[in-house]
Amino acid sequence: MLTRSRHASPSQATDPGHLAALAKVAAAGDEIAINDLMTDVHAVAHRYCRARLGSYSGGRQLADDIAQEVCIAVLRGLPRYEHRGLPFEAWVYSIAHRKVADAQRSMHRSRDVTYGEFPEMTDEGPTPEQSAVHDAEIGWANDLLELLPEKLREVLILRIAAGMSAETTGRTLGMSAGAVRVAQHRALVRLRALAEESLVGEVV
Amino acid sequence: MARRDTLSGEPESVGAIWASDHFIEQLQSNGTYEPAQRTDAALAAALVAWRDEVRETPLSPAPRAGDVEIAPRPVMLQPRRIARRGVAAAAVLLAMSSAMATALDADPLKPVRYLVDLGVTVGERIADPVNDPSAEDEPSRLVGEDALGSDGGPRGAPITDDNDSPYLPKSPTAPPQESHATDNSAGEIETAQPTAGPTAGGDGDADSGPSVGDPSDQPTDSGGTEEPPPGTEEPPPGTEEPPPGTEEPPPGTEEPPPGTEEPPPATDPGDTDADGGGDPPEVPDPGADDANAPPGGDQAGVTIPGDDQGATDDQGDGDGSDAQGDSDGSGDQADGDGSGDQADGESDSDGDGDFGDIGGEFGDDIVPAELIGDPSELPNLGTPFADFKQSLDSFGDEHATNGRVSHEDQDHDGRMGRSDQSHSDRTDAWKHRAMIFMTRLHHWA
Repeated sequence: MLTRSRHASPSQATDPGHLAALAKVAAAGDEIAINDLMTDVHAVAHRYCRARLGSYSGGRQLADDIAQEVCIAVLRGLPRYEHRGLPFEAWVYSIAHRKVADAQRSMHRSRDVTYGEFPEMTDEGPTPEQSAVHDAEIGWANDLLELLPEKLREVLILRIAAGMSAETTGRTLGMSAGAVRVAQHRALVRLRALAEESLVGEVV
Repeated sequence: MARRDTLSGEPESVGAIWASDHFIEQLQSNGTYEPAQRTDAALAAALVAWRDEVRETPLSPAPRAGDVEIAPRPVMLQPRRIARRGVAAAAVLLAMSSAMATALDADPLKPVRYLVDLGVTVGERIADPVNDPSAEDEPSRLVGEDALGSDGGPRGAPITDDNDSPYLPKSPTAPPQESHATDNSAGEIETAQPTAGPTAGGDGDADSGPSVGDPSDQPTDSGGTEEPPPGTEEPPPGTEEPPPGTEEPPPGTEEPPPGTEEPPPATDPGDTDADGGGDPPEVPDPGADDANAPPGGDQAGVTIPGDDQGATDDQGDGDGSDAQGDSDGSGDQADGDGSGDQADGESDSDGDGDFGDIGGEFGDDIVPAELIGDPSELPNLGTPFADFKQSLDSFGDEHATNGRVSHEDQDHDGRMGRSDQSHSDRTDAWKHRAMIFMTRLHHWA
C-alpha cells in the first residue's frame, strides 16, 4: 500500500503542453496567467530542490530560497522565452539544476547554518517518535538515492518528486519515453539491491 | 515475452520494465501498490516518505506578478544572426560594386583590392598608431583652419603639407592670390611689430611711431641708412598727416615694371594712396591693418622682410605693384628702379638684422624657442614629426642662425632677387611646417 501521505500535494502532473501554453499567455503580460504559472513553476522547482537538497543540513530552507530564485529567474526570462519544442518544464529544470548546483557548491564552502529565533509555539505535528521514524525513512531514502548514478537519480526525482510523466521527463532530459522507463526500472532494481544490502546489514 | 539484455548481461524483461513503471506511477499519484517482497515494501515506504517530504508545501508562497518587475527587453538579434546578415549584406555590396566597377573600369576586383588595402591600412594603424600616415593630413587641415579661419582668410582652400601647397610659395611665378594667403600669416607678425621700436615703422600702423607719418619716407622708416630717393621730402618730425603732394612716390619707385600686370583698381575709398599704382585686392586680415595705415605706408612691407615682402608691401600701402613684383618672385623688376633696392636694402641693412629679428620674433611667437632650439634634438614622434625634423635639419644647414641669414641678405643688398625670394619661400615653408608641428604637437599631447 502506498497510500501514506501526510501532506497534500500542491499540484499533480500537468499536461505536457499546459505550462507552455500558460507561459505564452503570461509572456504577453496577463497577470492571472503569470500567477498561475508561478504557482506551478514554484511547485515543480520546490520539489526538485527539496529532492536534491533534502540530505543537506538546512536543506529545507535552502530549497525554499532556491525555489524562489528559480521563480524569479523564470519571471525575468519570460519575455525572452522561445518555445523550441521542448516542454516548459525543461527550461524550469535547467534553471533549477544550475541554482541547486550553485547552492551545493556554496554549502560545501560554508557549512555554517544560521537560524533565527526559535518560535514559542506548540508543535502540532507528529510526535517525536513518529518524526524520528519518518526522518529515518526519509534519510534512508536519501541515502539510497545518493548512491544511484546521477542520471538515474534525476529520472526518479523528476518522475516521483516532480510528478512528470515519462514523456515529459524524457524530453526534459533529452531521452525518449522508453529510455526513461528503462532507466527508472534500472534505478528501482539498483535501489532494491541497495535496500536489501542495507536491511541485511541492519539485521546482522 | 521479449527480453532485453542489460549492460551487465542480465536478461531484462519488458514486463519488469512495465512493472517498475507501474510502481513509479503509483508513487507519483499516491496510488496503491502491492509489494511482492519485504524489501519492496521497505523501499516503497521510504520512497513514499521521501515523496511526501519533497512535496511539502513550501514555506514561502510563489512570487506573484507584482513582486518582480518584469522589464521587457527589446528583441535583440542573436550574434550569429547578425553575423549572417552582415556577411550577406557585404556580399551583396561587393557584388554590386564589382558589377559597377566592371561597367566603369573593367576591373571587377577593384573593390576587393580596395577592401584589402583598407584592411592593411587599418591593420598598420592599429599596429603602429604613432606612425599613422593619415595623421599627416589632419593637422594640415587644422593649420589651414586656424591660420586662415581666424584671420578671415579663404576657408575651404585645400591646404596640404606638401610643397605644392597653395599657401607655400611654390615658384617665383606664383599668382598674387597665393601671396595674399601668405599675408595672412604675415599679418600675425605685423601685430607684434610695434614693439620693435620707431625704426620698425613698417607695421602698417600709422600711430605706432612718429616716423611713420610720411608715406614717402621709406628709407628713413627702415633705419635711415639709405638715401631717400629724389623727390621725396623728409617729413617734419612728429607730424602725423603727410603734407599734400608728398605722397608722390619717387620716380620709378612704385611704378610697375613694364609687362607686369596692372593691379585692380582701388576698392578702398579711404585709401589715399596717390602713387597711382592702384589698390590690390583686399587682403582679409592685413587689410584691416591697412585701414589705420597711412596712405602709401610701404613701411609695412619693408619691415617684414622675413616674410613675403611683396605681400606685406601691398598690406602696408595697398600698392599692387609691390605685391605683384615681390610675390611673383620678380623682385628685381619691382625693385629695379633702385628704390625697391633701397627698400630691400634698408630692411636688410638697417643694422638690427630685420631678417634675424623677424626670424627670432617669428620663432618666439609661433614656435617656442625650446622646441626649435636644436633641430637634431627634436623627439622622434613618428613620420609627420620626422618630416618636420628633416625640414628643420635642411633649414638649419643653410641658415644655422638668424644673424647669418641677415648677413647673407646684407650681402645681397640691392640685388634682392631670386635668392631672397627663395629665402622667403624657405622661411614661409619653415613657418608653415612649424605651425603644422605645433598643431600636431598639440593634438599629440
